[in-house]
Amino acid sequence: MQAQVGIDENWFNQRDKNPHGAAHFGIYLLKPESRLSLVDRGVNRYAGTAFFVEGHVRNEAQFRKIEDETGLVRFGELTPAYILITLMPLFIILIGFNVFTKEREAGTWRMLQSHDVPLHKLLIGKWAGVTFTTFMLFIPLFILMGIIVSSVSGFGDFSFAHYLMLGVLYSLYYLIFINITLIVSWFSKQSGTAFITLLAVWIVATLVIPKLFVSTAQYLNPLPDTNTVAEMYREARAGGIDGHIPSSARELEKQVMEEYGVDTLEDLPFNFAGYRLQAGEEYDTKAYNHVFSQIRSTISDQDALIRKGSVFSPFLPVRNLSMAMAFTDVNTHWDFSEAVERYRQEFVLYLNEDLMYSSRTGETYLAGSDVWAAKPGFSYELPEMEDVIKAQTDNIFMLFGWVVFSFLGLLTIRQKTEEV
Amino acid sequence: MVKQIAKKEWKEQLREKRFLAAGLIMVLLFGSALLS
Repeated sequence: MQAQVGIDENWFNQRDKNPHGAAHFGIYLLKPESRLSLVDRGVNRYAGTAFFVEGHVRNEAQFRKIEDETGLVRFGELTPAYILITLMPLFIILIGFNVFTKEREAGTWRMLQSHDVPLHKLLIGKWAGVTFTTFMLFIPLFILMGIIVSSVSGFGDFSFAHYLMLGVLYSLYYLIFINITLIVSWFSKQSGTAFITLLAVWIVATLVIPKLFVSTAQYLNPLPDTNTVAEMYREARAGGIDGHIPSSARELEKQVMEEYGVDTLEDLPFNFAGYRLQAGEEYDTKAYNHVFSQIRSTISDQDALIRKGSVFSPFLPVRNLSMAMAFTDVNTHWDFSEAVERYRQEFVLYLNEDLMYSSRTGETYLAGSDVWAAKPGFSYELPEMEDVIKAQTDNIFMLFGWVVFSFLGLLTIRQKTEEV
Repeated sequence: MVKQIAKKEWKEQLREKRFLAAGLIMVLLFGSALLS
């Protein structure tokens, strides 16, 4: 917020200049961050949060944090979300892998049987024990983290509802791992076998499946590189009006003079240079929208495939939901990027219209601080919970599917014949 | 009966020190994650 104020000051205090020069001077818009981004940094590190708004060009975010980091970041960033989503299941496995096997190995299973304890009660008891232990680990840390994150000042808003929802999501995710751990422990003859099996499950769910689906999505729907994007834009832009080159707008000049019934551009009631710049700008916007929609479509295709990976691992829906709740997912980034583009068009239109109506064709015109002060305002609100949930329906559905599926898996536990 | 079994499991977890070890690791990881 303070950074945005400093940037705006820079704009307001610029020297007198042609409004189009000011459009090139541009302004930065910073993506508002929630304090929850301290919990889950999501795509921010890779996608960036500072957008440069200028004439002619639709920029993607700049100053990506990843550019300033060493290769070590490839080993995974240690964020609370990484610990809670990737490492916590490992602790659940550590807590529960031998919950049944230890009874068998110590010979206490038969003792329990001799007390005529019904299997379902035993199962519920063991499940409750592991669940209680897991949440005794998670809840205090989650509360402590909430206190720390909510008390950080100068770093966006803190939404209690979103934080609570994060807690619920993580809890559901842990229930899935608790159930899987109990199922594997039941069907394993030895603790070692159970541990190795669960370790394999963890590796596949949190490392292999996500990587496999991301790589496959990139392979099947490759994104164009920067040079190709520039070429795509040049192709889309070819033949259109260039606001800076009068010869590219001869047809437009004729049309406008006919429309206003004048013989020379100087007789027009406005500065034609501003009109031409705006016409060029609108052509630029069309070209950018064309290129961006192609890139978006590729990313959407990649995303659709990656989401299919949720069938094989609960890690993917939880990771997506966690980023969405922390406002650091791709959807929020795009939403902000679109808001910035809408603003950019408004901002450039304002400056071009100032040039058009504050001067006449051929005049040298310098706009001053009053023009800079009256620039259109920009405001952006992070999406409401309702919007986040709507955008994440399929991930929520997959997560609940996994919860139900894992509980159904527990129901398959029957007394082994050799133990009766 | 269910409560007894769950309680016994929790006590065993405490006795086996795995819970404490996991808790300590979690606190250390969280500390470094929040500090960074």
